[in-house]
Amino acid sequence: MNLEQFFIAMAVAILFLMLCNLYRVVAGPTVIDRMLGMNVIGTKTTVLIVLIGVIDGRVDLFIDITLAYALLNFITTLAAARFYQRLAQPIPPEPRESLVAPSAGPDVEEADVTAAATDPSRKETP
Amino acid sequence: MTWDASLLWQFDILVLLMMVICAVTALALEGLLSSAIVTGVYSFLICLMWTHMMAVDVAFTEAAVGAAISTVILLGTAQYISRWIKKDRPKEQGIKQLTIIIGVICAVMMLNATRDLPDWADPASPASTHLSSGYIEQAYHETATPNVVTAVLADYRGYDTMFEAVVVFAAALVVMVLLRHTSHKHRKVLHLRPKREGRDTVLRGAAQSIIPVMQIFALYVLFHGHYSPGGGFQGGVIFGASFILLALCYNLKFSMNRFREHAVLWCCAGGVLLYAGIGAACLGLGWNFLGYAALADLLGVSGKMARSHGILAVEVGVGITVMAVMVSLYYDLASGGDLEDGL
Repeated sequence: MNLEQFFIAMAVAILFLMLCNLYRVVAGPTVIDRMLGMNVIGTKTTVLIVLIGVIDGRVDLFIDITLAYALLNFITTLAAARFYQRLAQPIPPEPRESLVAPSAGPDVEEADVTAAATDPSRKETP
Repeated sequence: MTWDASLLWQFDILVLLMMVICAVTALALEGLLSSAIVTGVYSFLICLMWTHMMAVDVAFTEAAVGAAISTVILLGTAQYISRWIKKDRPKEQGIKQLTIIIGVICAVMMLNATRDLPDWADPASPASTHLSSGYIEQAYHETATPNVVTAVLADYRGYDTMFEAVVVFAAALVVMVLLRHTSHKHRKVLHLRPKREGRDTVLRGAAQSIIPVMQIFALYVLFHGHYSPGGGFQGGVIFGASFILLALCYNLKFSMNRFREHAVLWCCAGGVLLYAGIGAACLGLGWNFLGYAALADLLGVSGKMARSHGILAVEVGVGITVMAVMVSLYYDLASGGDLEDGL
């Protein structure tokens, strides 16, 4: 088994591991599971791109892409965490005297608040 | 088991399978946050696909846009509209079914059309026999740009790229026109948005150390586009992402103090103007529009080096526009148009 076959086998193996993470993203009971799964898939993508570069013999072309992923990968996770952070909070009571839009009265429902559930750790923060 | 290194079909099939799973899941999931996350995974997979096809510049664009921008913008939009969503609204169910029907029809038509496409990397296909060979043989001798993609993008197909930059600019304008015109009632509803709490010490420290690296890397990608994958679009997206990261780690006000609204607008228009201005300058010097060889006398270099410099200048224009447009889209979409508080 030469080195190229070794790298190909490794790439396919990492791809199978990505499939495991994809299961967590698809089935994950909570949003946190999905966020973690996405982050790990992003890390594996970085490695896989380098491996493809090594297999094709042009790794210099692919290094920039992996650097971009390494720098940018966590921005999406951060944005998702911010989104979750807001949605997990209760909506402050609306000011009674103000003109609340008829389309968004007290019966406005959160899209994700059921999935976000209530986070017990949030209560501990002062 | 025999491995075919040139095709590696096992790889393709696995990635395609995962992409289909992601697409179906993103449609089927209930919450907007979950759907946005699955869309992010889809972006990773399609980037892998393009990398494997050796479409390196496309993969780079997908990496920059998918990892930093598209999902963040989706999440910002989701945060904005989730205040209005009511569940089990019958009208929206109808729209959803209509969307599925239209999607299925389009998918069938496109799958039907793929039968006419040439095989992947078919040397006898029209694109390979007529056009690509000419570019590959001549591009370096005519433009002194080793990366053929950059030469084609900014020189041979300069018009396309200019109007792509205009389209990006128009997208920012449209979002601004739609969202900035917030009527009175919308403002009141957004007032109910929960405040972000906590001190985020780790996040801010990480942001302080990574944002300069990110911006230098963006400039490298922009200016090294002649020699490696990259260029104005990718560099601009990464530079814009640094401001989005600033807004996510601190808050929207902090980011807007660093990159003010007026500066964003000036950059949006200025990049396109730079591109078109270089084209017009070539026209004024007696050549075709965007015929960079006209700049040879002005710069004091040979014709092919002038084309190389012209490519660099228009890439800078594209980079400025894309950077500002990405930041502007984030400012508008994440704050719902009032620029008070972002994601």
